[in-house]
Amino acid sequence: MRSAMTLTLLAVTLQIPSFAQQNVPVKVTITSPTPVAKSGAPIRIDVSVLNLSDHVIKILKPLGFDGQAEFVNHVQVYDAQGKPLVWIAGRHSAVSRKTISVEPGKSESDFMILSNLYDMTKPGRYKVAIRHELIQFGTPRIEDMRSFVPSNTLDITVTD
Amino acid sequence: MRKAPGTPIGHAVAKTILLSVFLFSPLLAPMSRAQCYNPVPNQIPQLSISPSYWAPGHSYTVTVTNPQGNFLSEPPNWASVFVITQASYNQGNGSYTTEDPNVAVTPNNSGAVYISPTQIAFNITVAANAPNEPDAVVFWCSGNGAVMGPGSVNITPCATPVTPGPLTPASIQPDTWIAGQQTTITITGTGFIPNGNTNGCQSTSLSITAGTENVSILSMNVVSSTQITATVQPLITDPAETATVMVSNYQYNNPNVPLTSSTTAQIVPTTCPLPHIAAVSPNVWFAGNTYRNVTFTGTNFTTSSKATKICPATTVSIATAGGEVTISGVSVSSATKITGTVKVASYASTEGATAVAYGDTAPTPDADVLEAPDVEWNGASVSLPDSPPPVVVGQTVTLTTTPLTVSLAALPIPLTFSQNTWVVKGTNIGGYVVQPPSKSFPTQSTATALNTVLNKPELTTYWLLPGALPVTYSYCVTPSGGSKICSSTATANFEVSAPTGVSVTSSDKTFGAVYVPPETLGWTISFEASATSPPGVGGKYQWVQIVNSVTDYDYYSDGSKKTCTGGPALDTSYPYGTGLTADDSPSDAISDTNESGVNDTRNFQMYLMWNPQTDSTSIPVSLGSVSWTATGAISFDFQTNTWGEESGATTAGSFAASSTEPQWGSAITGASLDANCH
Repeated sequence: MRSAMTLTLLAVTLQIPSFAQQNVPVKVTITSPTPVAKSGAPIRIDVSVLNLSDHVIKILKPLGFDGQAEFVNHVQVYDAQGKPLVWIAGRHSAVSRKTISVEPGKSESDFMILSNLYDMTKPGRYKVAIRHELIQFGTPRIEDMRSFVPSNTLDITVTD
Repeated sequence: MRKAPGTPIGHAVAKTILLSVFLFSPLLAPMSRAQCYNPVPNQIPQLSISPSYWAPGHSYTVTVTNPQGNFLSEPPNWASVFVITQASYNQGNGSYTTEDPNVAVTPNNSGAVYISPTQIAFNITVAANAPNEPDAVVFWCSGNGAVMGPGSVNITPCATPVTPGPLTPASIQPDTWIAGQQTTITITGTGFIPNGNTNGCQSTSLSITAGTENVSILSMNVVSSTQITATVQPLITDPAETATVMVSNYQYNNPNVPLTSSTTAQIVPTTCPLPHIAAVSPNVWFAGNTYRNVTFTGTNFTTSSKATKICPATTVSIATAGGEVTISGVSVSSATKITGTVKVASYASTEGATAVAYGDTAPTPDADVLEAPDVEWNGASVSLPDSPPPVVVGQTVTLTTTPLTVSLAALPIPLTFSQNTWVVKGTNIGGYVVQPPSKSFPTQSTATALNTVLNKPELTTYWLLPGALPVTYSYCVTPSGGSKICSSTATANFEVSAPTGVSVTSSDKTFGAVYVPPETLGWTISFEASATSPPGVGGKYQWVQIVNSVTDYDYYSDGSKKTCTGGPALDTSYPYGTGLTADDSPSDAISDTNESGVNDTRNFQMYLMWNPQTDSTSIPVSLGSVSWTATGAISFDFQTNTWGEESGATTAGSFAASSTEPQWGSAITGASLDANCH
């Protein structure tokens, strides 16, 4: 029914509002302590948001404990053929997300368990990218308040 | 007046010269000659004279003590001594006008003898016809003209020591006394100093002991130098024993060693049956109360109509450690019943009381005295008029009281509280207990505001609103076999303060959707609070958010629908945040490819709270809340194969000041919400 919504990574980039590169106040970096994982093993993605500006900024953080970074980061996973994996986590809502302060030059980190969100049991190479949701309260134009900041792309290899 | 101004010129004219010294220059500059003592600048030495009482017709060697210790022994070592009438001495400038003509310093006025740096001595003779009068002794040093004095003395016949007696058993009539009975005796002897003697001498005193106790002397009169009369009363419980009767004359020049004479008398036991109080009713008495018709029951009471000299009417006294209980209006109704009025002082302690019938050989505590209640905070009374210190909302106020439970249990008639009653004015709670969610149990969380417990001897309360707020306390006991009786009420007045100028505004209220898998609905809102903490109390501001309700409808392409509900519950974590600002950005991700529409409605209550942090158990109190709602809907357009037709908003009400603490029985998380769909 919604096969038309199967988008490529490029299409995602085009449809989601984001900062012009020169105005991005943060840098989003994803890494994994398990870049090569056995099939079925947990695959963890660490997300670091660095404040590039000269002032304190606030970034979203899910209410509650660490390990729920997917609530403030749109994550997409592609297989070796560039086909996006299907979300397996079902309904996924955040009752509340609040902001926390990040000093200039400092970064805040959180993580998600990617293998809980997508079926990555099939051996092979995967590409992972996220878009960090940035909400800047108090922005003069309210339509500018929400934006998305893309991260680097990360390779994950799943072995037998 | 003898007055000869001029410079001292020699021994022969010492008295005259002394006058000028006293009148015009009492502290002369030291001269080069040897001196009888070194004067201390600006200090006239105060002398001690011994003996200081001189009897007419007697001669004394008098010792003079100067605590300054500056008598000198070097020749010419002499000081002129003058005995003057005290009436003629001028304390202001050290002058005098009259030497006592009845006192001769021998061999002459220059006869003072050096003994030590602090003592000299001289001899005097008092004329036999010298009148009673106070005198003073002063000195003048021939070498430098320095003066000393005065030292006080008295000329009085009382100075003559007189030994009373001697006494023999025959001197006491009668010499046999009955225990408990008043007996008038006559003591015959010699050397007694009568009451009201013309010389004003202290009269002869009398003491009587038997065993280890004193025999009561109800009255006494020294009639003459040969006769004393007295009324004595041995204890009614006294056995057969010997009493020692002693008469004493005071020695004026040796006051610690009276001159005495003694003899003996015999005490015989009474034949009167000894009374005993077995019970008292009522037997629990509150401080500050008067109890009329208190009944004392027992045995061997003697009524007024049956009283005899040997067996007088029974009397009753109330013995307590503090002596705060008195009895009056005692009436002996029969051999087994006495009534009276018992009055307990308002300051009486919690203690046992013993009703004692005179002559009772084994009185036992048979009543309880209960103190007026007192409210204490940190060990200090805060009952009126001792005002408690100011407090703030959320501060732990733990009050203790007296009497203590253990004090009641230790009474002669052990008691327990049957009721403790506190009245705490103002909005208050007894505690605010929060169990935050944990990582292992993210939905298990509770918050409960406890009622203040008002029926225990100790009180812990937290005020939620400010004001001038009194707290009162009283207690009741129920004596065995009796009915409940209650104390007076103690009051403590508290001044409670709270943050002022509290307001919360909301802004940044948006709704939007993201049409990239996972498609997401999102809302935003931010809060900014303003408040001024009470002076001297910083405290901490915090936010707590309650999810009043969540109703999310998910529509599917096959026409089916799921409804996800949640709330009321704590929103995920406690507290939501700290400080004076907060924000929220809820989201709802669509992740089912068969989903064709979403319609969410979520209602929240954001509380601003303040914890004074005045103590380790202070609690956060609610200052008020903002109710706000997030609504949003999107649907899938099957014609265009796109998501759209979105509608939604974030709306918020005004800040509503309220002291109602947020309470919840569980927490809600995204996962728990998603799991509650059907």
